[in-house]
Amino acid sequence: MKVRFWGVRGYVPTPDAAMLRYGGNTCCTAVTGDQGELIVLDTGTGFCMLGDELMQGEFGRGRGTLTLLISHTYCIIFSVSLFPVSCIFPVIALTSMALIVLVARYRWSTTVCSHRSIRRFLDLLISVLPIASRPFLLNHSLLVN
Amino acid sequence: MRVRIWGTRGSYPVAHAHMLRYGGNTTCVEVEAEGHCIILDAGTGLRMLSEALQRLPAQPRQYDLLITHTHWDHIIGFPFFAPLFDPNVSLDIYGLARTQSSLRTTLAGALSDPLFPLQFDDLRAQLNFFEIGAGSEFELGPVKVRTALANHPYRALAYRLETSRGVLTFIPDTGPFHTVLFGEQRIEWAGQPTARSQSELRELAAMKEAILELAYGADWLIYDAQFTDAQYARFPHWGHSSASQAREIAEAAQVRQLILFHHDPHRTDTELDQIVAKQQSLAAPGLLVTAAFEGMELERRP
Repeated sequence: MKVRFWGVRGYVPTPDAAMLRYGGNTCCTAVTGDQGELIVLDTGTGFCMLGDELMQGEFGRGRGTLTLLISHTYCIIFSVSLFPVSCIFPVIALTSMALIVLVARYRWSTTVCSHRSIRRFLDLLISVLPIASRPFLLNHSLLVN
Repeated sequence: MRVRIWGTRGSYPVAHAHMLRYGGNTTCVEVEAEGHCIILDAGTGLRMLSEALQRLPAQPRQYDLLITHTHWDHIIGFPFFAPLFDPNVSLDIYGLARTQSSLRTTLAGALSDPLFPLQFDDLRAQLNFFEIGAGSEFELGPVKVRTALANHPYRALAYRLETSRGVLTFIPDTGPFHTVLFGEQRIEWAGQPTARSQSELRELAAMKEAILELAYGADWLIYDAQFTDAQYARFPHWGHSSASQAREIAEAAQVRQLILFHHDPHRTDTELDQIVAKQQSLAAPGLLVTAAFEGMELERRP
């Protein structure tokens, strides 16, 4: 099993020179199994970078498969003086945006395993895709209720 | 009138060593005129503006936010704008009137479960919403504002801001005017960027005419240049332009400075340098071609 971090930042991507070593992309971790199976944990903006690399291989020929595990679409994490409550919305939106950009652009066959609420959430997002066609397949596999 | 660019990127923010000079934050531009603070779009660049405002000895109490459209990359910085949590602040928000949902409903939906822990009503600032259309004209302090419609899926507004000290035209998202991209009703894409009827040709001509009028004689035209020409050929229905298409609009509208904007998230600093050099070499005499970078400031010399 190989684990690779593609995005480690919380809340919002930070394109800042002083933060580049740990990285400014939001949550995305890829796990590759011994048989080559690919599991992706969360789809922050790091997912876009992973997608660019995957497109160099099987995915670029329209034959890639991956399983996506989403931890959550929102959470309350921190509080600072500026913000009475944490602001996690950008992570959520970017997570989904990255997913949709990749699925729509590269016509992936993608299996999403998640809580029912996340399935509804993704359905909603796909219904408002800002492009005219939906040339992709999104399989829902409902594991948890 | 002073213009500051806080976010230049299109589609989604990128944190990449080869993209830092032009910047990785999504669209946000600040216009300051006689103490009035006008903000164009609320991408992640708005968070940088917010941090800069916090460093001022005294912050403005009144802001005007002009939104071109509510696709994510243009509103994602909204909840990170610290003045939203100040009860002494008043924020006037302008955006396109749509039949599907109000501007307030759209933004409130983004700040609600399951997307966000905070409810919209938790914001402390006084928020006033103004839904406008194409051809709107109004004044924000010393700034005259005019709008037109851009050719973008589900429609987007374009803005012209004018004072005696300069004219800025802001068109961050628009395709060229070869085919009408769908508005409130989704149109299945036919595969070719060509107009399908006489009425569509008339609509395209009117849309382009209004955009040229909006940009006419501007000191600064900030214009969608997400694509290369090759990318445009592949994705003509995504509602974005190439740098050469942006230059042609700038030439036709006789602007002084073209500022390529809404950079593709894969575009490196080196590639942008090359794009600027190429378009400058092709440009009509008198047109300065530049690309927006984070921290760029524009001010007419007296």
